[in-house]
Amino acid sequence: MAEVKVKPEVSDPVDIENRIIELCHQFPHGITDQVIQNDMPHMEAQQRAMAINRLLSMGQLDLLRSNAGLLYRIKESQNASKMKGSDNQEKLVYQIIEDAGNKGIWSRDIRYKSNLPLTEINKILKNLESKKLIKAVKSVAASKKKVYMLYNLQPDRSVTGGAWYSDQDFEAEFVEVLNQQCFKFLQSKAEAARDSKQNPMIQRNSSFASSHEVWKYICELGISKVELSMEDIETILNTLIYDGKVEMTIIAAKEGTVGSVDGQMKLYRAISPLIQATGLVRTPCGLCPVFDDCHEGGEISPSNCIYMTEWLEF
Amino acid sequence: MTQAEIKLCSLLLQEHFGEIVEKIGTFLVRTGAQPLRIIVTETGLLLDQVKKGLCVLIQHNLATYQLQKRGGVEYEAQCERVLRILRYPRYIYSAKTLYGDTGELLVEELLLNGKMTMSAVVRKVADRLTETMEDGKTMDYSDVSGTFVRLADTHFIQRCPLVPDTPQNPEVPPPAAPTLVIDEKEMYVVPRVNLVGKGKRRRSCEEEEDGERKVKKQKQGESSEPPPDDGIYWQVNIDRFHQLFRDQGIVSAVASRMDQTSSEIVRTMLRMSEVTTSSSAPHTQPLSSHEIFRSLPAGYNITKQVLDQYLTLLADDPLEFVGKSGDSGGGTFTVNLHKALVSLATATLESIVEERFGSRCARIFRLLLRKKHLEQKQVEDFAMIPAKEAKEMLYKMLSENFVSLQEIPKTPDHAPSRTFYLYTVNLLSVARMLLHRCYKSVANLMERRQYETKENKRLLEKSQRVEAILASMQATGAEDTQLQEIEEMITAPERQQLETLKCNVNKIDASENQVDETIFVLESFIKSTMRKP
Repeated sequence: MAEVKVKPEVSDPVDIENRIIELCHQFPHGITDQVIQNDMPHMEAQQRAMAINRLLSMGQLDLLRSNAGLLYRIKESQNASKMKGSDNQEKLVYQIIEDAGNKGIWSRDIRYKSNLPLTEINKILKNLESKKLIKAVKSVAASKKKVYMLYNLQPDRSVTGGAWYSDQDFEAEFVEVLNQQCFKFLQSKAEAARDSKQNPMIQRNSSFASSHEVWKYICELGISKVELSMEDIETILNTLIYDGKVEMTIIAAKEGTVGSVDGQMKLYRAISPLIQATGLVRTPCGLCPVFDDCHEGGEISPSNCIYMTEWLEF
Repeated sequence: MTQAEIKLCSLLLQEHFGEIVEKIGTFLVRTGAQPLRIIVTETGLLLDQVKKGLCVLIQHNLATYQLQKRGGVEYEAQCERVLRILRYPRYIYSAKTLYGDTGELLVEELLLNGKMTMSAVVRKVADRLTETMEDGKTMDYSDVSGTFVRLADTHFIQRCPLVPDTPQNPEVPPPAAPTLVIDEKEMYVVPRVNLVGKGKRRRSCEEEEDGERKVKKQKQGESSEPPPDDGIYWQVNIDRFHQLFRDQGIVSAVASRMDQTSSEIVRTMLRMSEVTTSSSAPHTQPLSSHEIFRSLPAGYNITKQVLDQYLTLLADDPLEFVGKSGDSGGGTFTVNLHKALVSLATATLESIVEERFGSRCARIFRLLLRKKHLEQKQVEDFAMIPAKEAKEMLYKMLSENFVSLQEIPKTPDHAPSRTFYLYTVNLLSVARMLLHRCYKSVANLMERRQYETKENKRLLEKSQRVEAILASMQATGAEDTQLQEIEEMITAPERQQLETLKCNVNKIDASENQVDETIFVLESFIKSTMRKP
């Protein structure tokens, strides 16, 4: 009887790779070494390792670590095409930036995560930028800091500052204009209520405007090219409170009424100041910048105070 | 006593009482209670002068004396009371608005003389009023004493403490200094004095020679019997006036924040609690809405329902001037005096910040008042001011001590990079700082006024001489041409100068009063806050 030699199947390396890729497609979350072994039990460990390494270097597989061991996951096909020609370091950096999402990541943080030297990082970043894979966005918090994120992502609000910033500049005039518009709206409402001359309860209640009403008014005015949310309007109204021109009360409102948040509604009303300009500031001494140096017999004294002389000539 | 207060005291004393009293008063204010001998040696004046000066100070309630245990007497001047001299015009004006010309003159006489008996002050005021009336009419004493009684009933004037009537024991020598006592109940009781008479007009020069002999005889006749209320002296009750000013401040604040009717209601409430609440209480006694309705002034005919609505509105207002304390009697309400003073003082501080630094700084200031402690970044976010400007403003306010920093270290070694720095506003210390500034401002204004007067002294003297000549010539019936000649002694530019001088002095005077208003608000606030615990 002839010895049945079990000839080890010399599988084509390409076949092995294709088989592994098919397995990866079957399990999109990733497959462990064990799974590949189960599927192709006749393969030797060495061949398996070679195939996997080749797939990794070609960029078709992702190597991940999980608590069960190593996982291999199929990579997106278009990314695989992009990364052709890039070397491993670039891929690593790209991955880190991708993970940062739309908040972006600072270059120093990239360095920590990838353990690459600074010069290398800079070169890679420049490369990726020229390939239009990532972009640099200036953070509004620290104007020298640049965060990197994927090219097609919209930067997060905390980075650009939201509606009040355009191109990293705080739009002071925009805020001022909104401020005045809101105040005028509330003022006219209060005057209308006062002129109606009904009994005081109704008068007071009708002089209030909820934040929702103000928001609607501002949206209808159309002075803002950026979409403003109700929280934005509330921050503007808060500045009016800090100016002492407006007061706010919170009332309980039924869930579901327009403009209520968590069962509460904020109402705003224009008010007039409590007192007129106080006595001290009507004299030159109240506003004098050199007040502390002034004493009788000195160079600056009440007798030869030029501010007083001007003031007396009024 | 701060340097500014002492300076202001000395200026006031000098202006109203002269050099000697000023020296004594300033010395006492600076060094506290001193016996007579030390005052004499330190001020370098004669014993006689010091005695007279002390008499003046005590008469005007500016100084007190105390019998020490060792047997000596120490004299002490009260700096606060001296500073009240600044407020005399305001007292007189309030009396005028409440009680007319008679009240005004009564309060003025009492302030100018310190302490007076009722008969003396009534006589003087009647004489003064008669001067201003037309020929032939005189002011009756009964009108004046009627106003006097009304002033005493509303506690605007009060009796001075008296020497107690202890039986004189011949063996025990009388004490070196009598201790004055006054009973609470007796303070506002007007003695039953029958003051009959009319005001006398000061006779003109022609009748002088004829009337002189008659007057002399009359004087001799009168001097034999002392006035019936001898020994009962009256003085102005300053605390009551302060209460009045505080009430006025609250009412005007309510009027500007809400409307006229609400302020009338608050004024009624305050008027009802004038005599029942002590001036230092944090709120008034509770008043039921029925009582308020009954006590509303006659002109205001609003229905009970409307009144109730107004009261509810007042109680709900974020200002919190009025609080609801119960439901009996249709709802009982009190006025929160302490809160009202805090709001007024805060508004004053905010207005000062706004005028000095600008409205954006005022925004940051108000923001810090509300949120108590904030970091630099949070200030920028809440106030919606660009970072650079916000930083500049915060630092400017910090350098002027309106705002202070609170450090919260993250690590035990307080390293600056690992510490939180929070900005905060401390109302009490800012109020004190501004009060000190007010005192110095008033002192500056007074000095400037004196300087202006001194500069033009020659001109003033000349104009006075010219007026005297004119008056005497008019009396002797000179012709018009002669009068005109004399008038032309003052040239037109000089006249102009005199006009400007008068204008300036008036302006400075008015502004002194205005700064005094600020002083009043800040002082009341500090006193009320310090009293709270």
